[in-house]
Amino acid sequence: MKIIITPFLMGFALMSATALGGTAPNYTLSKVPDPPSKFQTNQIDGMAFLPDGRMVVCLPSGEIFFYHTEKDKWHLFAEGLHNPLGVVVLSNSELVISQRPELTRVRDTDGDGKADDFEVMSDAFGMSGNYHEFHFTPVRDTEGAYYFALGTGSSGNGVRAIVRGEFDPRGRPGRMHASTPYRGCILKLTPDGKTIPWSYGHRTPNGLGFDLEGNLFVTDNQGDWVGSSKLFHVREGRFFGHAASLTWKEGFDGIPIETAPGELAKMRTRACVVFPHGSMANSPTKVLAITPEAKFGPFTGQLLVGEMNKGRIMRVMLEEVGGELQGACVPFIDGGSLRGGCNRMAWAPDGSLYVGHTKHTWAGSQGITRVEWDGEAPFEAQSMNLTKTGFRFTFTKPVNKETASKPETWPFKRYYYEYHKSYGSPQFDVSPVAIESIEISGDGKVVNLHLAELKAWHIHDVNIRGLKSAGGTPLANTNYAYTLNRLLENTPPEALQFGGKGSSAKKQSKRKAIAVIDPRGDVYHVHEAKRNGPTLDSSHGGFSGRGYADFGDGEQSLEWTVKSKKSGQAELLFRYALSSPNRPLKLEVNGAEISTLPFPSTGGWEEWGNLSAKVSLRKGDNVISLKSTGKSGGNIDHLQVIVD
Amino acid sequence: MTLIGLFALGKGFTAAVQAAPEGFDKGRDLYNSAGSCVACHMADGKGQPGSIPALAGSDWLDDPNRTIAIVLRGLAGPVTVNGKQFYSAMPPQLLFGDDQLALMITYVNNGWGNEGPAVTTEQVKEARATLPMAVYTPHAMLKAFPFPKNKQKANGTFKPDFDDVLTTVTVPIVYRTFMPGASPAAFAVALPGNQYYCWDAGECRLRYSWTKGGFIRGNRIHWSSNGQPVAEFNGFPYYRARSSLLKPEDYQDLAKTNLKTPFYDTTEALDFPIRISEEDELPSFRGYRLIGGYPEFRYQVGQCEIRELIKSSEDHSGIVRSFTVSPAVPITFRLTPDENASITASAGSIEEDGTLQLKAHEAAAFQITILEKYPAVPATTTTKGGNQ
Repeated sequence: MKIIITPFLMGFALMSATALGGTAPNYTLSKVPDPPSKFQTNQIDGMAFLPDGRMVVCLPSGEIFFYHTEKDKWHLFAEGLHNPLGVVVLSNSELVISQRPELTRVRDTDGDGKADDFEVMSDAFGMSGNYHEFHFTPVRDTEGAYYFALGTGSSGNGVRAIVRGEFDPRGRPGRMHASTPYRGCILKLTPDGKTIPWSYGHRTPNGLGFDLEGNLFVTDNQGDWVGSSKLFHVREGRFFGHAASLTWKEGFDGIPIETAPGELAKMRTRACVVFPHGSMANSPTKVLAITPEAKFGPFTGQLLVGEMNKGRIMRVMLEEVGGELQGACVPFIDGGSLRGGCNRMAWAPDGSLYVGHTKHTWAGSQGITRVEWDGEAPFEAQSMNLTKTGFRFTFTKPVNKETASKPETWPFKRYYYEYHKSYGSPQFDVSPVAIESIEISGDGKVVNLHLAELKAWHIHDVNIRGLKSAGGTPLANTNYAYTLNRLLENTPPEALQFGGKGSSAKKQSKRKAIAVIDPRGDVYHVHEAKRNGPTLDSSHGGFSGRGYADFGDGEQSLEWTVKSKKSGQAELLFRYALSSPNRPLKLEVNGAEISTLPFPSTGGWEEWGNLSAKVSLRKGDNVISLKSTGKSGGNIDHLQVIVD
Repeated sequence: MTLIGLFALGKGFTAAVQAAPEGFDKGRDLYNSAGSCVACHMADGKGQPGSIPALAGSDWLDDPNRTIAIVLRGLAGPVTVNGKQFYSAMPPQLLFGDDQLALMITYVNNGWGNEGPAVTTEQVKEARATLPMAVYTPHAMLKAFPFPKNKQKANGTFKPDFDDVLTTVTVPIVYRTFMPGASPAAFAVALPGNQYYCWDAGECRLRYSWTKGGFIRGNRIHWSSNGQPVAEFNGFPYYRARSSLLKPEDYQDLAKTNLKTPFYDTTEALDFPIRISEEDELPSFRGYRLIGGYPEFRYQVGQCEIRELIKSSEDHSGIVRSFTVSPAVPITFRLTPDENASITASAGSIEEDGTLQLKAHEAAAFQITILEKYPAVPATTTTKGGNQ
């Protein structure tokens, strides 16, 4: 991955290295004792607080512990979960857990302190068995509906022999794949128990969270289709960019990874905040709103976002511009003794922040950290707002006016990340942005910067240099990155900023399955047959099921088991496509060889025809096989059985 | 045989081996003799999943002096070989002389594509005289013969979990993890009486049960890492439920994680064993509750809710599956006749093909007992366990 840095910008890069880092001084970190896992792990994948004040943590081993923070006492509440990655607390004895296979209600019904009832709330989604298919944290809205997020599979490995849920080869290719239902989607479990797809286009949506207004947010990690890590404002029916999950969108018929990126770019909803890769974040996690009860500084309503690769928790300040949310991110609790792998966060009853660390073979850590505010307002930008001509910073303390009024203090640059299939994106169209003038309010807290240009659909990024408060306090965190999608007025049309072509330059017909027109008998798709050799392919369009059987060399066969209500004559119709002529296949019925069927050319791989054969069937099950004669075979779509 | 032996030699075999391939053959014959290495490490050098590490391609064979020490003194405790964890004991090989051990170790170092050095009788003789007289723990072994610097990260040993050292199951252990031979939504349960079973929540059915060889191994790696590994166990299921979608030759592939397409997906699994109507219905998993620590699974098939609780039989030779069907309707239960198991039911009679028909009042609550029985087949050296 190239980062385009010109010599002029090198200085900024160096500045950022020294300006970032160092824990905000008004926040103290302390290490919380580890839970006594039987499995030598203290990774934390879920965290919340019970009504009685105890903390709940979920470990990858499937153990769920309660912790009395004052008494320093651990209690094993439940075990046997499969990678629980998030928890919603319903009561001191009832939890809702996201685990790999399910959204599960975990309850202690007999009052002995240990969970004894594990009820499936939803398992209406697929699992291919790929290791990367995590089921991330659940959240609950005010109406009692749940939202939970399913990660995609990784091409770092494949799928298992038996997968749960319908396998769709359209979602299989790609660096991250979604070959079973709703991988890469956020699902909603309605209060009356229905699981419905809520949004699409997610890659690794690790960390759903609501803000105080009930807006739902989720992060995603840099990767294929994700140029840099992001924060999305989740809404129903939206597509957020990662192609594979389109396999599961009603009405989407193509193969997602082969769809032209320009088309996908038009469909997608952009991030409200992009986290610049490397400098800001590599793998963001949980989104946590700062509540009025939190004792964390004058930031109520803003969002905290965790990060895996280094010890960092970011702060996000959003505003509505042009009807959509956008805004700035800035490191907040950063460096110092904060361990990496900040995966889960929760507010304790005393208003302090607890952080659960994890790694799972990626960059990260283990254990639990408590972050306590000393009650003094830190010197930070309380807000960063877009104006007609630039940005307005409102600081928590009056600034040193001499430094603040110098343009060199505010070295803005702007750029964008490209939207494309390949992994991550360098920064494009990088350019410094000059400061034309600066106004500082009388009380010194508000700094209005007038920029030479505001470029819509670009990230505007500044490492504030050498700014101190009037009282001499250095600015705690200095790297602010504002995702400027829309301007206050006259926003130009969206710059789609996509790259790459579809997978083939030649325009091919849409490879969607077609409905079988007017079948005269029972249709047995080839994906229901036993394939000994032929693969299930879908690169040529016009098939009627999930694909067609692609014969190869050697002794290969297809075998259907069809049911007949009575014994007697039947006509078998094999629907197929064959470009090169004459690849005959042997027909066997119930083990007896009937004939060799001549499959003449249909004229092309997307021209489909039917070959008919009359056979005798018996009542009940009949095994119908097509066997290769050493000359490969055509692409077989389905078998129709028409009983006389 | 010599020709095959030569093909099996690694590229880097020493001049000694090159010059005297008969020594390689002799080493192989000793390796494969009764009671020798083959009994655990198997003729193909692949060991036994979950209990015996492989020798073929093993990352522990980098130092012939360490290999000699293991063979002479034994190695007991947790070892990590090629990333897999084992908690076993290798006994010292006391029945063989220096010259025989030299041939056997040379064979191991050069067989199955391994490319290691030959070992001489003198080396073994000297080691026998100078090594301390005790069975090594992996820690001590790696201290005396560490991995090369660039392989230090491999570590070679691990701190065992409680289920690595488990010998007697006293309370049921319930895990959800990736199991061979099941969909990705699988349970692994250990019962008092040391009976173990795999139950598939993706298809709401018992997949298989086993008893000898211990519970699943090294499962922490699956949960705490990126989730790649599928659980392994050393044991041969005495009962495996039927599936019209799988052939016996498929069983080896059921633990694979690198397939391009699956053999089938659960929406196609229309051979659910319990039939409550003419139609084939897909079951729907509803959850489970713990009764005295035992999971009682519940699932919906058509209009019926079925509950299934599995315990060890009283004599600990198998399992007893207790079912309730509500509302009680007549059912057809298709069990799997297996030469390694005897299957009986508390009501009705099981036909030769494993079919059990129950009237409604019988189906309300019934039990199926599956006990291991020893097949009338002589033991061979190729009793493979694990992923079958």
